[in-house]
Amino acid sequence: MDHAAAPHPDGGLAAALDDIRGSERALCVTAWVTLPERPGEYADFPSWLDPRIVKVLRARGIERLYRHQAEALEAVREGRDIVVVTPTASGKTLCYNLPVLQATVSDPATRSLYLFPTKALAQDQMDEVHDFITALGLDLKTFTYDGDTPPAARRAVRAAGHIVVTNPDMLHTGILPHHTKWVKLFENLSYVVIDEIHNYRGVFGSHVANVIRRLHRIAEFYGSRPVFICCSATIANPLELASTLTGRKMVLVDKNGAPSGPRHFIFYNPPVVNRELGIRRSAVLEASRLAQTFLRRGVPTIVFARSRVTTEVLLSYIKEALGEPAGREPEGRPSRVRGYRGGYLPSQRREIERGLRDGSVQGVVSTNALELGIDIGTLEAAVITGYPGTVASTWQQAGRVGRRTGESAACLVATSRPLDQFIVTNPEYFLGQSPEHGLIDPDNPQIRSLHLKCAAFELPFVDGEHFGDEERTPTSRLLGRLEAAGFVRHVGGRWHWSADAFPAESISLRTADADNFVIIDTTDPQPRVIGEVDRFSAPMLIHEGAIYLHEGRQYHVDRLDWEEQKAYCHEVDSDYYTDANFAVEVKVLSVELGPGGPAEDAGSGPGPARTRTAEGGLPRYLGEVSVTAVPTIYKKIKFHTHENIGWGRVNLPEQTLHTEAVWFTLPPEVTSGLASEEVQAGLVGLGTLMANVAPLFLMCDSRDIRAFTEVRSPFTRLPTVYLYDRYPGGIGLARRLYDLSAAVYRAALRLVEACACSEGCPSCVGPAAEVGPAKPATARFLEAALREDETP
Amino acid sequence: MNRPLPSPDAPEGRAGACDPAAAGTVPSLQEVLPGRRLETPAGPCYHVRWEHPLCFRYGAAPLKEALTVSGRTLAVLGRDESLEEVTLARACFMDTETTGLAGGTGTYVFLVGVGWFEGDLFVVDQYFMEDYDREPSLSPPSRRTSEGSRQW
Repeated sequence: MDHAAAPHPDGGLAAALDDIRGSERALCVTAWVTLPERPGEYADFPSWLDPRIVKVLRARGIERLYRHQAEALEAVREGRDIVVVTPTASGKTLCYNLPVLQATVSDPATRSLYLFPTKALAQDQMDEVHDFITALGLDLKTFTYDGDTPPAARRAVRAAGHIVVTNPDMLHTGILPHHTKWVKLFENLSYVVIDEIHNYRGVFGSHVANVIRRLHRIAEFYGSRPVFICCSATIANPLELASTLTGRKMVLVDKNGAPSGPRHFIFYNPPVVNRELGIRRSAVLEASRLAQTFLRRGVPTIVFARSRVTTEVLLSYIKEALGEPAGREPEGRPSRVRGYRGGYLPSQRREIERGLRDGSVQGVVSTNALELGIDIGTLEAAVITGYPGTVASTWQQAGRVGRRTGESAACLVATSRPLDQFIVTNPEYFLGQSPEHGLIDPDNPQIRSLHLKCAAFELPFVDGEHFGDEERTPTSRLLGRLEAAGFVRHVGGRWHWSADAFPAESISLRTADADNFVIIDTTDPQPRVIGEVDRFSAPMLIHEGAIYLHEGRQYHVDRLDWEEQKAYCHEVDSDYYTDANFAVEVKVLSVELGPGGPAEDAGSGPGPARTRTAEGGLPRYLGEVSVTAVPTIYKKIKFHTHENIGWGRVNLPEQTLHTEAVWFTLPPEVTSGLASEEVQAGLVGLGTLMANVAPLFLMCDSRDIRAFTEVRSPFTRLPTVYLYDRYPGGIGLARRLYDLSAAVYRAALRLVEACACSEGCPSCVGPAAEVGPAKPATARFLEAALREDETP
Repeated sequence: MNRPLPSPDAPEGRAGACDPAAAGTVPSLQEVLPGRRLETPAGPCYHVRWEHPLCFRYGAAPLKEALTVSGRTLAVLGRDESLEEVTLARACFMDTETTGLAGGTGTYVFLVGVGWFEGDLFVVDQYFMEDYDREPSLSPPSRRTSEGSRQW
């Protein structure tokens, strides 16, 4: 181990970077980019800022504002809606806290609503505002209002909260449908703060935009017109996203005035350990070594892992190497290196966040849960284990470190996945890539209808009232459909909610089911809950026989009670961990539209090939499918060597998603003359490409649709590409894709032809290493699709 | 897991649950429930009055037994000391029916019933919301009665 060369346990970041440069690991660095130091740009406190607020700021060592903060303050004071886009640690929260506090101090009747994407962020922000208010010494009340708020406290929050901190889901189900209990808030609502708006992309974002439309209606009913203050991480189109999300014209504040020290971005490819097979050393082991190098030099470090299991494995390696207590922690000696991920209990997470801020925790291993703006103080080094999948997310993780002065470093450690290998061997591709777009479509017919129901429940619609884009579909027509279905009743010039159901309750803004499985440790006579796992992850993490890792400790899962959603486990000391496999299958349930339009007989498989030329393109279908994910086996993987030392079966019910899909088949004349590997590569390439391009046309996020390919589909008996909505019942994306397929083919073909790569890259058909050289076959399929498409 | 979403493209003009005309001939409210339309400042509502002799029994006990319940018993059952002062003979009883149990602003009160003892009768006034736009009409009569000479 090369840290033996460093006699001093300290030495800081510069010494740690020298350790890397001076060891054999320097050979693994494929690029080392240093972003230069940036001086700060400042502005004085505006003269109108309350002296009490100025005093608190001064007491915290803030003598003046950054330029973007001052700009934000002035714009909000003029009553304009703004979106602030600056990196983490640029003092973004003051951009909304100062205007809100100023207004509340001058008029205590002022009410504000803060929306955060997660409960953890809401809690974090609540603490920050609360500290500020305490320092002001004023009687202003700030509360979080979410699923964790005890019923007894809710009345007080509703009546007395000057600042109510919540999430869009709670606004949707808990606040808007009960607005009469929130009269004080809505009558005086002056500011709505929406932080981390880059999270509200795709279908989730389209839902949230409709929740905001409902908020506008209710605010207007009570006579208020709040100013919107939005914040976003770096994305390609923050102004557009914020405007569509809030339905307001926004002012963009993006000239970052915060200074930053020099930042290193290191691309790291683990060494090849088997030249014949091209096998590289595990990214987890390399990330662990790099993290140790930083931590031994006393550098506060965050390590990002792509999964919960990796998080725990990395944590145990790092703790063990640094001689930190593993297993049960002795009293009075909490570990300086901690894990952080979904599934830890909220109190445990708060404790770790506090530890990071006050320095008692020096290293943290986290999933992307810490990618968001939770305040974890100033860290200096980030080790990113595996490419996070998007440019924006990578910068966001790298941005968790960085100081106003002095150096910081982020190190991206590639796994052997083709996408990672592409990024690490083509760093200029990553550096030249603009961050992703945040795309939403609030006028998606299904999403808009769902929220129209919620809105009608909240307040009857008056004739002539608009909800969304009138040109796409008039609101009155949508209401008419709801009346025909028995949901509303049109009488006396108003549309009244007339069903006995509570609509918001059955409409989830997110894909994920909210229900959790709890994990119960039965080691001691008094069993205790140690963590939780969401329904989707349960088959992977807590099946019987699994080694469940929690904060570096190991638990053997003895029994999983699927009905009761409980897993019983006991603490063990094992030399392996487990990793479960899934098999995914798409089954066609019914065909609604075939190549020539409505399918005559849903059960008869593909329509006659002859109809294709009438409609054009590759034969395409729209219908209902079931996507099943079946946990099959789990592998036992030895710590450190990562050898596979055994396996077991997972006996759990399959998870089924019934949804809508569009699928395309390749008829024999399109594939003739191609070897089966070429067909396979081209098919996968076509799927990847369509899934990459389609979101631009559907205004959704790449998470919202999935591609699935079969070289010989049991249903169509031909090579087939399926694209399905990742939402139960479908959300209309596949349906729209069915109509737009020619435009998507054209864009896809342009992309393949224009892409400078030779055999395939993540921007087009996928990395060649993953699918084989797919480009020529994919291009051929697309040309065939378009040629026929253009035949009259 | 599978939660089917209603299709926004559902054919229009389908006979809906709220369209009695489509279900054939519907008897008038008057035929089903003898009462009269009551004009209130907030619009009309439908009013029915019932008068029950005190021996009337709906369930286990005859109505007159209510008159024997002491204020003390009410205070214990209702966990409210102030009920000790209440005499049921002079009390006003009220109940509502709503379009849903989940609560929230889209739930309507469609029926308000107000009852009291009067001589050897128990009188019940029922106020019915004839359509969704008539909900406001239910509150003035119920308020008038409950704020009258009776307790509460």
